[in-house]
Amino acid sequence: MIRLTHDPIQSSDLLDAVRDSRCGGVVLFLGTVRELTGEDVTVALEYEAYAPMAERKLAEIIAELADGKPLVKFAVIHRLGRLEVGEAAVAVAVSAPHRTEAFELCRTAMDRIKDQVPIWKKDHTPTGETSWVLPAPADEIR
Amino acid sequence: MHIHLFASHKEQFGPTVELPDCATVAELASALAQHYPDARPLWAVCRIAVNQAFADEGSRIVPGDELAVIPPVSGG
Repeated sequence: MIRLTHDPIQSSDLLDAVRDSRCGGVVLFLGTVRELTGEDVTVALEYEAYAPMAERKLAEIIAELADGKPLVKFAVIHRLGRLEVGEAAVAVAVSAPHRTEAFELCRTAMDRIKDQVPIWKKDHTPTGETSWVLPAPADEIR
Repeated sequence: MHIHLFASHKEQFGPTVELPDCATVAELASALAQHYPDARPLWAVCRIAVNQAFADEGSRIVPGDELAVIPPVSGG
């Protein structure tokens, strides 16, 4: 399952999409709108995508990670539009036969999504200022 | 040829811009910097996508290709 949506993310949709009787590990990651970045306060984030390419990149990332692992399943949902603090902007669910693989695949998928998928976000501050967010360098906090 | 723009470029110039035909991605990058010099520092950190895939500077462009300027991504 790969979905870009303006609607709130329902975690159960992702879990239902990946659960499998042959998989004993299911990992769900939610990336939520954080209020504080250092001392800077965010009241909302506004997401925009190059939707057809974003869906294509998400499919590529999942296909690469699942290559040679027939039991592994992924589900990814990314929100678009304006999100308030605390809302989930992205969700990745992975099921695998064992937990170690599920954790590692979820982390790698999320890192690649942040690096490769054409989605952008604009930060809204309490004073009404806005700025497009630039990616953090790879050696900073992920 | 028209080129799709996103994020800050879209706010500044609109969802698409028109440029004379270019034969390669490198030519397109130069043409953007020349026609829209105000955004030159921004173009420099962007990648060009051809038909919804990131393209190298030497990649050929043919009429009908879907072209887009991809600023540094910040999803998630």
